[in-house]
Amino acid sequence: MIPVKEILLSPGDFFDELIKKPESLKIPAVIILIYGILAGVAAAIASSASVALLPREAAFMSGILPVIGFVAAVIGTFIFILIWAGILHIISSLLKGEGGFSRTLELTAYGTIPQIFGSIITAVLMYMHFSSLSLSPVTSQADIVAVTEMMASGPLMTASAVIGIIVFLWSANIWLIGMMKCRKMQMKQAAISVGIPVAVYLIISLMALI
Amino acid sequence: MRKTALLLTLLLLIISAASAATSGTSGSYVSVVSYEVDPGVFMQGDTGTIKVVVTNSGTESVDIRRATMITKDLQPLNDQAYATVGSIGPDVTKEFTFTLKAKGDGIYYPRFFLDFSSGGSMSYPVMIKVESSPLELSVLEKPDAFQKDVKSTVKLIVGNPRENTVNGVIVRPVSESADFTQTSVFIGELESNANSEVLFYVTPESDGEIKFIAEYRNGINRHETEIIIPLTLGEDKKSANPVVNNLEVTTTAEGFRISGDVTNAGLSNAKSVVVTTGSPAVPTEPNRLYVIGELEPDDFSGFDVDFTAESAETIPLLIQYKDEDGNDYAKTIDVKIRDSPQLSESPAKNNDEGLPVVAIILVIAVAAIAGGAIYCSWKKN
Repeated sequence: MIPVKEILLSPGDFFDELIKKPESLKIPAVIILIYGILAGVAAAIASSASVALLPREAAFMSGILPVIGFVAAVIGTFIFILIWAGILHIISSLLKGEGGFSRTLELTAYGTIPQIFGSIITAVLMYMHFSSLSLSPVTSQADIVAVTEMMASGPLMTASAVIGIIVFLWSANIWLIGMMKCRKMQMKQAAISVGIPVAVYLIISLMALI
Repeated sequence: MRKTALLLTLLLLIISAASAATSGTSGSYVSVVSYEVDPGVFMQGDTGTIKVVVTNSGTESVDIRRATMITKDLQPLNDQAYATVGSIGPDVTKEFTFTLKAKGDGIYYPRFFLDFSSGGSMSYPVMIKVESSPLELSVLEKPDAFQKDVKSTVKLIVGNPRENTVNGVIVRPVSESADFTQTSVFIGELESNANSEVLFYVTPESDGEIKFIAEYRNGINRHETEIIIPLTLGEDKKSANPVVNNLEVTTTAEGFRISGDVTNAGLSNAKSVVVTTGSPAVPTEPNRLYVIGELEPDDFSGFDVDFTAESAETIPLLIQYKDEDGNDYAKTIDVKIRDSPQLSESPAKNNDEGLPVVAIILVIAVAAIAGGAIYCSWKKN
């Protein structure tokens, strides 16, 4: 059973207890899988909408494109968390963080729980957004750019992106506390360890949003 | 006195009769037994013949010096043919044929003369009618309006108002604006006050006229009469009229689909109705063509056609059908498939008017929850 309430509302107490236990990636794997499935659903929704853009020659892709989107999102989530944990671990190690990579990976996975809720909301908003579009097959490069911009813009997509940033900051807060507790770091070092990659990520996200 | 006058009158009658139709001495008697005019009724300018039959009912031969036809109203063409005749034996019949040309309309009585070698002569008046009424051509049936490249039927009637029979009647159409299935129709003999119907299939190409000419012979003389029909292209008021409505354009995996209804708003059946799309659209499966079949007046049917159109905003929707005679018709309706070259948003769901309230509420709620959770986590920490 995943202690969701404790992780979200009192992550300090949760990580204090976690550090006393041996490292285990079972529950983190389940969390990442759930996160990945929700991301996959959102990707499948976007892929289904993109089917209408396919030219006649690529019509055979219409059935498998959502499946490809879903699988890619699930696998991509695992890879992203792995890389993200690696970045956090490297930076925190440079700032004298203690413990192995598995512990960093563990706390990173627990920290993604807010993004699970964010993914649910994002999937609903994306579905509403793509349902409002009437898309036609595109052939030229200019059309592809125009359609992509249209698919990625709009109030619902903006709201989705803003919510994504909010839950990401929420996750950053959990990672920060996790670093302090699990990697035995001062708040300043932990804030730097988490803050640098989070700041880069937010800059990239905001640039895309603008 | 009264008795003397009666005798004189009787004598004059005897002399007159003897000089008019017979010539005879004791034992001979020559008379005109019949005559035949061909054609029965001349037309102005016609050339024809009069055949006079003379018989000698006496018991002796009669010497004939000359036979002739005397008239100032017709022009004799062979008045020297019987300059010398010879004798006519007892109970012998002899024919004299004269060729005449009619000048003007009227009833004329040229006189047939026989001069006897023994002196005296015989004359006989022959009636010839000259009347120039031609055959009458009338249109019985024709379309209300001719349509370009659509075969139509024109029915004519040829009537003979003349007193005599005409021969070799042929009706032929002439036009630079239409083609005809028949080059001519042969009727042949047409009796007095009789008529005959003829049918022509006309395929018009442009505005113009059609001339129907009836050619015929009166005796040996050729004549013709004609009638002209104006050829004006237009819409047949009774033709089928497919009307398309309830059009809906949707996108599919392969392109577009147009759905709608076709209603026959005309007065004739539309047969073999097929709906498809024209260039620049390229029809695709599963509904390249949508075959509706026959549509009766006021009947309707739904259709779906699939196609792709790479860059067009508007494509032509084609409704093809035939009439009862198999003539092909096509109706084109331009259908707008895109608002912009490649994409559009559903107007009813357009979100450009501003941030939806639900999105704002969601953002605020998530921000509040996240903020509260972060605050709570640090407070407990």
